[in-house]
Amino acid sequence: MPILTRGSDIDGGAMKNPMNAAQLKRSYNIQRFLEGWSLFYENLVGRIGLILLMIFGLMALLSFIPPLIDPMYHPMTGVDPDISRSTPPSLHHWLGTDNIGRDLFSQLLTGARIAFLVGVSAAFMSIVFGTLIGMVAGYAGRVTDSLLMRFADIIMVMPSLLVVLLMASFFGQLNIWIIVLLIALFRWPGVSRVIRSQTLSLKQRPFIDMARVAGASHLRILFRHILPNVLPMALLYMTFRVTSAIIVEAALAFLGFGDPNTVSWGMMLQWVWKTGHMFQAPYWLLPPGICISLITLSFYMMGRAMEEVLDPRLRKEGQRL
Amino acid sequence: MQLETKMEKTAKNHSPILDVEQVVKRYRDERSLFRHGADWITALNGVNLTIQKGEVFGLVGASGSGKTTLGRLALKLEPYDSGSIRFQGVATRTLKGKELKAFRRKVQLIPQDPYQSLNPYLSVYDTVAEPLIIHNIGDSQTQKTIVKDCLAAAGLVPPSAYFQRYPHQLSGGERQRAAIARAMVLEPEFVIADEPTSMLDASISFTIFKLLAKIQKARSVTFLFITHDLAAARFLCDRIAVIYQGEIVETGSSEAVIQNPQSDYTRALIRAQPRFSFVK
Amino acid sequence: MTLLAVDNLSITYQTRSGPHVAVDDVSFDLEKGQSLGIVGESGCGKTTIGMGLLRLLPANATITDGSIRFAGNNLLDLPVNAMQAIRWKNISMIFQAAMNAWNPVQRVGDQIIEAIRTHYPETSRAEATEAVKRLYEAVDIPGNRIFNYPHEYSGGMKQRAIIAMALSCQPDLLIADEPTTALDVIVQDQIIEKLKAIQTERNIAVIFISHDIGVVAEVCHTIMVMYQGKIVESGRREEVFGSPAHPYTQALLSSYLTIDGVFEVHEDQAASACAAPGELPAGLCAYLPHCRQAELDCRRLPAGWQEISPTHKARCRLCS
Repeated sequence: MPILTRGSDIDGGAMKNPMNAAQLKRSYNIQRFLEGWSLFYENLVGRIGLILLMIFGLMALLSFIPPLIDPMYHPMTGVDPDISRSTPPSLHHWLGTDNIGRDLFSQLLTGARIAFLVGVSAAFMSIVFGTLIGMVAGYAGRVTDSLLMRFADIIMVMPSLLVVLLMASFFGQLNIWIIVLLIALFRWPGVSRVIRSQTLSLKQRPFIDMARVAGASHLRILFRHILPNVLPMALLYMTFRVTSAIIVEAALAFLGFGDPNTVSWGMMLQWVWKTGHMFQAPYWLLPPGICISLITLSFYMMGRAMEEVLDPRLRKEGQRL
Repeated sequence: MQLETKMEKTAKNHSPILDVEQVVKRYRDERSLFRHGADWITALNGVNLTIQKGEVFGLVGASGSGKTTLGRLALKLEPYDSGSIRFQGVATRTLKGKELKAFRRKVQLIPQDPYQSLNPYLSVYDTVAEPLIIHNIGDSQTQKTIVKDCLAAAGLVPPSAYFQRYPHQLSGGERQRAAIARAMVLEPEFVIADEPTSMLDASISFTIFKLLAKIQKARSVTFLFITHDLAAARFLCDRIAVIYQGEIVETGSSEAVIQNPQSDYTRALIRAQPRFSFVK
Repeated sequence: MTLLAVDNLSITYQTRSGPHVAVDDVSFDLEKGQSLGIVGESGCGKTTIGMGLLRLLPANATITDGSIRFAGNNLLDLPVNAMQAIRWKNISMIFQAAMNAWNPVQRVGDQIIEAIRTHYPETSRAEATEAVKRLYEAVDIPGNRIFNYPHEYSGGMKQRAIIAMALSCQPDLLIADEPTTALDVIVQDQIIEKLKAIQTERNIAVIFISHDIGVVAEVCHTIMVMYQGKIVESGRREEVFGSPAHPYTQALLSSYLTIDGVFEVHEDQAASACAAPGELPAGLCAYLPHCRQAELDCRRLPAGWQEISPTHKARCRLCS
């Protein structure tokens, strides 16, 4: 099998191509992804995280099914005509029902869907924002850098939950997408710091000089040269942002400031609390709480495993990439 | 437009393509983080240099002598503190916007570190074609041909096999050839080669030198060859300047400097060269 | 007595693209006080040999065959703590880019003292400091610099301090892996002269590993040329560099630029690109794809050792 030997050539006029066809076509992204994937897979924590996540993903996908089977399984509006109070798990209702007879399992599945939706969108938005600001701050330096970072600091120290609660109390119940936006707006500073420091070190690298020597504009350097190199780090931080987004949404919902039209796990907790069933209905109380913890854990575990892939210094000795 | 004709006019009258006069460059000493007050390191202390059009000029010095700094200043990658650098008669300090872009088209760099000078996310084609795209030269078909020719001239044959390859799939020597192809793609008038082989094995170095010599002759490019290797400078260059601790200690034709060194430092450099004295 | 006898040493790395034979059936002897140079390009296995001698290979490398006999004992049979006793005290090493490996927040002198006291716990701090002073004298670093931090040293000084540390436990064998790369030529010359002096004064055997044949030629009396894990030529330096037998050695020499010009060995020896090693059937000459002098028989018959003189041999069918 052909081996990649770096630096090992005495080249004369004609260079022979030592790569086989399969390796030829692989772009840097794909090559890195495959190598990263095998490293990731070796990491037990990453594997567990991934499996958990797949379970939740499955739940989210399956959430569309119960209402199709029978309208009484609809998480919000489905009401079992035979039941008008909270019942423990049974054949028809695998997790039981809430106090007005809605199926809890269906609610749990929908909660998974909402968690992904909220988590990923909020994280995505905060990453986009944070990456842009971090890149510009790191690249521009000096005054722009200071201004942007002070702005980030101010946002970062603001008690975000409090502000969101204040806004909720002003504007009444908030729509789920507004919540997502607010979470994103409060969470980008952490990302921007990391991206900024990565940009600062990238700026020094010779290929950036080469782009300048070629006459590239600053915009071009930012988006064609710096962005691809900070993207892995940004994606990594996205996984961490997802965890905090999910928790914030759950907290808001639990405190009664969520979107009443969405069934999220936080909402479920709010309902079990508000209706006084907290200590009477463990089948209602426990599943959403456990799910919140587990999904957060799974994203976090994946993030940690990804960190090992992305940062060569964290790798165990003897692993080659 | 205006600057180009001005450049062309002065180029006809001025044979020196690069004129460095009393250039001073200082850096803040990073190590003084824990001490009060800034310590300044003088990288270049009143350097004078003239490079004629079409010649291969060698700047020889040890690490820390300031040779790389001078290259960076000539490329306008960093500003200098005092003195003047004129390219084709025009001061580079005040170049901006379109004029700067025109300057960039004429002056190119072959960098030192082949492992860091290529964006790992860009294929060889993208890297070499980028200057063409930046300067809007030709349509995609023409660009493809130009890239092909440059890769072939740099010894990466067959060129099409290298189009979709990425830096991590290339050896050090191949990466450096890609960097050379990129430097030549705009058909520059002045190329600065900053220790292009110091990170490569001695055997590959020689083939890269021969390649540079070939390209220089074929395209009549003016070269500034920055190196710590006096032997390489002798092989490639018409004239040499020896730089030591930010000052030029000797200038002259390469033969004259090596056979009849005037400065102590040059003499020390020559004495320190490895010679296979036990052979012969 | 032969200080070091390496026989049929083979080392393989497990990489993501499959097993890579880094060292293939390497054998050589080293007497006390002798200097051996191992030359070859990046990737030819020379660093792996150095690391293998000290059993400091990374986790994905295995010594698949052979023996390393040091003063009669096979190092590969030794348990870990016995090997640790040998490292630094009997065999010490200057690693590649070692001068960058100084701990930046600890004074250089302290780092060397720590090394001494780790291997000789009975040494007092005062005794160790004395030893460092003497070592610094041997490598030409002023004594008042002992307790500086690494960033206060120049590159050449850092490297000389590394040599001092490598000598601190008075080894019998010193392995130097690219000790002068990244140093400018004047400093390089000083380091080489220093190494030669130390070697003669202390009668230390030295293995000098480098891609730079000019530097190796100054220090070592015996040369081994490696290509893709195999030794292709070995002999005294006058023989190997004066009348190189193997086409690869000739190619190496003819691409080496000295101040007096290029080695004119064979005009058509501008060597060519590397093949993927896995493509060749075992036993055939590894240099075959690039050899300008290859004959038809080279594609059929294995390339065995040819003796050119009692001290000079090459693995090529064409030389004798």
